[in-house]
Amino acid sequence: MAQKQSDASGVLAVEEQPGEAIFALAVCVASAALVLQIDDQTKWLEGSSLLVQPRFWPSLCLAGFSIFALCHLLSSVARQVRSGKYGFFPWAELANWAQPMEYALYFMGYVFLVPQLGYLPTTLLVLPALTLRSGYRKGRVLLAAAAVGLCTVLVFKSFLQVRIPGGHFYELLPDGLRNVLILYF
Amino acid sequence: MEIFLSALETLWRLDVILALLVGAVGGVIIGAIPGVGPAVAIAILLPATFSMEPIVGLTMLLGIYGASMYGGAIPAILINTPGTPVNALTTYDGHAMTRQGQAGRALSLAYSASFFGGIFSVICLVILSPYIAKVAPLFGSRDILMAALLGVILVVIAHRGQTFAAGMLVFFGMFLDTVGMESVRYTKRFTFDQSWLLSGFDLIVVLLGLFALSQAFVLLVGRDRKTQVAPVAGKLFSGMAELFRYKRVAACSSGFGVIMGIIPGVGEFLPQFFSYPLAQNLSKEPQRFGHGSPEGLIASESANNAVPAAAMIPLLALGIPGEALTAMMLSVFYVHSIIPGPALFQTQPDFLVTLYLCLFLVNILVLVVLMMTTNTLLKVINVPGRFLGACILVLSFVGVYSLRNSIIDCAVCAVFGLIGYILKRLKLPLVPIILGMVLGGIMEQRFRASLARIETPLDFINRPISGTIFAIIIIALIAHCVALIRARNKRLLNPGI
Repeated sequence: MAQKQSDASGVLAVEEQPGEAIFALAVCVASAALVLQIDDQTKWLEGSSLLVQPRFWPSLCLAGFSIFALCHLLSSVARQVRSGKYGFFPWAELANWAQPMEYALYFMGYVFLVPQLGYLPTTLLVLPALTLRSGYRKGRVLLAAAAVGLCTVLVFKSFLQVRIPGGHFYELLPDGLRNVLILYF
Repeated sequence: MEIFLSALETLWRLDVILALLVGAVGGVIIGAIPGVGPAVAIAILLPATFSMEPIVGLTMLLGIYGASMYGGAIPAILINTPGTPVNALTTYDGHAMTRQGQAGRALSLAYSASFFGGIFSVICLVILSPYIAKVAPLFGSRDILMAALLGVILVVIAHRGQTFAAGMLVFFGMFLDTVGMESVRYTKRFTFDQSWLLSGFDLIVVLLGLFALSQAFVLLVGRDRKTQVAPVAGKLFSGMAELFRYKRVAACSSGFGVIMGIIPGVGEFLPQFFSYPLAQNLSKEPQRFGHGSPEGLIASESANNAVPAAAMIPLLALGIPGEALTAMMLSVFYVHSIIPGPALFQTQPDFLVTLYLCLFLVNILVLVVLMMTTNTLLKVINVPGRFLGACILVLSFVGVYSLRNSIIDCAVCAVFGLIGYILKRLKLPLVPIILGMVLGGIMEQRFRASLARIETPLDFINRPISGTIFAIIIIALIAHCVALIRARNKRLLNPGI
């Protein structure tokens, strides 16, 4: 019985991860930098008591943030030293953290293209491009990507009328078509 | 009666029925796809619901929330991969039953237990409502401040083994909420002379980054799963009869789900860890737990599904969200100028009754959908991960860009997406950031409102409610410390553990 209970608690067990200590250090440095800025970035009003100062609440949050960040750093380093499982700079893991940067750029590229090309054309371009980049080469998958893109535009822009402006490219189209595209696509 | 009839009339509207259907079916599909989960879906859909009436938007989001937990049981049972994090314990007995050739029985039991938990919590919500309506107006600023503080403390100590990290992230969330122009003295806080920071960090932008975009990154960078799911044979209706045999387990587990759902900060993940050992202790065959015990399956599924309705109680009564998903729903209320809290029960009782009815109907709808379409749903489990990641990335754009058509919002969202990705790699929790942002805002507001009546710090807890909540905070902290000391002593005695 005890065996099974430990099984269930296994789901909650926290394992050491590579890069834990370096992340904790980075957060600690960031929190210290924010604490140093508190004088510049918040106001102290003369004649008001401490509790009503605009500076009071951010200071409280930053104090908590810094203390917990420091405790997290110390516990991460202690755990790492104890286990000796990962180095302080696990380069492979740090490289992994940078991997999604490429997709973040895709995302930002998509954001910049929508006001230029319009929501439908950009989505029909970006989703299959991302699918290709992800390693799928079969026409069926690319077609599915285009279909998902079309459905996304139909559901959100045509049906739910979410606020996404028409692209500048639409201005070049004939009147009737342009109005339809601006309103629904 | 008049209120009930008015609620029924609202419910009979086409847009509400459509929202119910979309929520129920969409939620089941989202839950069945490992790697998506309700948080991603709700974060993406949130801005789209702002143009809907509050009852329509909330019905859809609540439908997704509740239904995804039903759907999450399917991959947990069939391929040993929980569809949503809350289905983690379902894999223990559910997948063991599949290996024994009882996949149909396991699914049927999971659906029935989920249904029981869902309906049980809606009934609790309805029964408790008159009492909540009486008690909620008694909550003053100091009481709500203490309740929010309890939420903050519980969200930290609920992350056993990650207490420091959770504390760090909750305070980070609270700090994020302070950025921008403060609303009392109109002074700038941490804006670094950037005009775009004057309005602070939008909760939805942060949510979309941390939950949706980061998940897109995780899927795009990762590898596809290779799974083969065989069609499920057997009658899916038989689970109800079997559930009746284990009614005590189902009732106790649902009770845990309701109680822990009500407590702010605990979240939907933990109840199963209380109900599962209890079911094991009550069982005549405890040795079967983890090897295909129907009671184990019922314990985890009914506890999970009892949470969504119960989690609405602190949100509706006090305006305090208990976990990330209700924190997201809070913004739907705010956008429509409905302030959840004590006054809601007096001013809009018909809105609340409609919401309860919707929750009730969602459970029935989901059960019907699952009984009829499980074999069709199996196809979505096999959607390739990276393809799914590309779709989530494109969908995240709609969520964030449609808010204010701001490219800066999208850039902020991308940054939080990268932060969320790193946190996920490190297996650190994201929920404390969101709860810190929401509860931090509530706490600051209530703290300032309380100051007029405060002469000494003890005045914060000199009201019966705030004093009681403060006592609960102290008890929770002591219990946490005792648990830590016990775990440490156990480790010292058994270094192998």
